[in-house]
Amino acid sequence: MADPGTPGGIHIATGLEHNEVGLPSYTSANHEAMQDKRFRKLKGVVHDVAPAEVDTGGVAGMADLGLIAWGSTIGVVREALQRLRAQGYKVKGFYPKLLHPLPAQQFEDFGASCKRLLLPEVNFQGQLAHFVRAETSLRPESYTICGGMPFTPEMIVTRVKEILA
Amino acid sequence: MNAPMQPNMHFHKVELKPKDYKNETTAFWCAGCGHYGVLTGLLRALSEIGVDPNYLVNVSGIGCSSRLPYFVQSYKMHTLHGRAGPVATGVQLARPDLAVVVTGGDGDGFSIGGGHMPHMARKNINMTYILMDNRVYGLTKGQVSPTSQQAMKASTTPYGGVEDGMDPVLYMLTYGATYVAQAFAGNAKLAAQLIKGGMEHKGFAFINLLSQCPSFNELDTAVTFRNACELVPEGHDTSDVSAAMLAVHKAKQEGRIASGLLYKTERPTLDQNMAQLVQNVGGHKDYDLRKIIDLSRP
Ligand SMILES: Cc1ncc(C[n+]2csc(CCOP(=O)(O)OP(=O)(O)O)c2C)c(N)n1
Repeated sequence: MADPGTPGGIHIATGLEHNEVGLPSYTSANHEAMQDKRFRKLKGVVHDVAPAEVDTGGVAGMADLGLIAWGSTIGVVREALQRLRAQGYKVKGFYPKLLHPLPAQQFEDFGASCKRLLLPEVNFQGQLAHFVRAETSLRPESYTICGGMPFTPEMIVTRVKEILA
Repeated sequence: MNAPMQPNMHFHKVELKPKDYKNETTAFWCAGCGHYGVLTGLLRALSEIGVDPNYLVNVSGIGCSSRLPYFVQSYKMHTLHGRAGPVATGVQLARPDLAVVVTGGDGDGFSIGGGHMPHMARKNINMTYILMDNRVYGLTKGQVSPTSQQAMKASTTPYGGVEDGMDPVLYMLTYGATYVAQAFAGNAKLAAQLIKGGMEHKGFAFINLLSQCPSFNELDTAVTFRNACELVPEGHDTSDVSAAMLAVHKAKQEGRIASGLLYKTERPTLDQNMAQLVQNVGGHKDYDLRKIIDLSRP
């Protein structure tokens, strides 16, 4: 849409379903066309946002385990990964910046470089794990807490060792 | 105050007739609705100022009144109920070169949007707020609004109301609006004159246009509004805020409504103060608020 002050670009920005000239239009054909357009635009968002960070920590090739983390759990996972690597574990991290639309290909690429996946997150349902299973071919193991306290690096280290034991 | 300002492009004159500011969309409200008068007044004012439609932004919330921008040749935004003010504030701060006009109802402005009103006034946002005051919720078919008279029977008050109505004009005088005016919307000539004055004024201009709702408000009709509205006396000192308040109170005590230009003063607008602050701390005089906001995007 043209910015105000652009000669010839006059339009109305409305929350109502509207046609090409900005007038409200509720026909089902128009609604379908507009939904199609909105969801097509949404796909492009993946390319506008910085890609997910892959935390290899110098681990080359296949990792024995990959950790996926989002939000404030990222810092905890970074620290846990450092401790694990210092003890000889081949582990990597993956920190998405965008959850919707999910950058599925980035998840797939990371998943392909790890033998197993663990997804610790602070909510009862394992919401991101659920989302990843729905939108990619990956099947990360979910690790959730919801008591109101964050994970500690030690909790992550312990769980990873249990899995890889 | 000589804060750096982008040129006021909207005052680059164009020669357009009032009907040229009316776009191809048919204006549609109930027969006899006062909102037609507001539209007529606005179109006339725009023509008299000669605003370039490309540099005009008309923002509204939700309501019968908030449909007005659909009919105006300008950039326009039909936003959320009660949120025209904050959106318009954003437009004005990001683009001080544009002419920003809000048109909306008494419910939109003073019920759900009430929390925004004092802040637009005290911050002196450089825009024109036209309240289309029909003293009722029209779009949702007749509920009490903050400006309804206590006696009004409505779907929410079948036996009459239990609260006194508020006065938008007194409210705006109290909170520091720098231009406050009132008229009957059916007096398109006066309405146009007051809107023109508001748009030419640098600062927050509030214009209360009393607009009858023949469908849902039987108390406030075109006839009662027309008869009640009385111009402030010839010698009224528009630079004196207490004189303005007194005029409103006095008229009210006598069962009338003070109309015309009630108050007008000058003080720095928020965009001027911001520009000044940026310069004081060594910033660029042509800083671009949108670029600053872009810095925080992911
Ligand atoms: C968030 C939200 N709450 C409530 C509504 C329902 N609603 C639509 S218009 C309106 C009030 C309209 O009254 P007013 O602003 O005075 O405008 P008028 O229709 O009288 O011109 C209400 C309550 C809504 N659309 N959105």
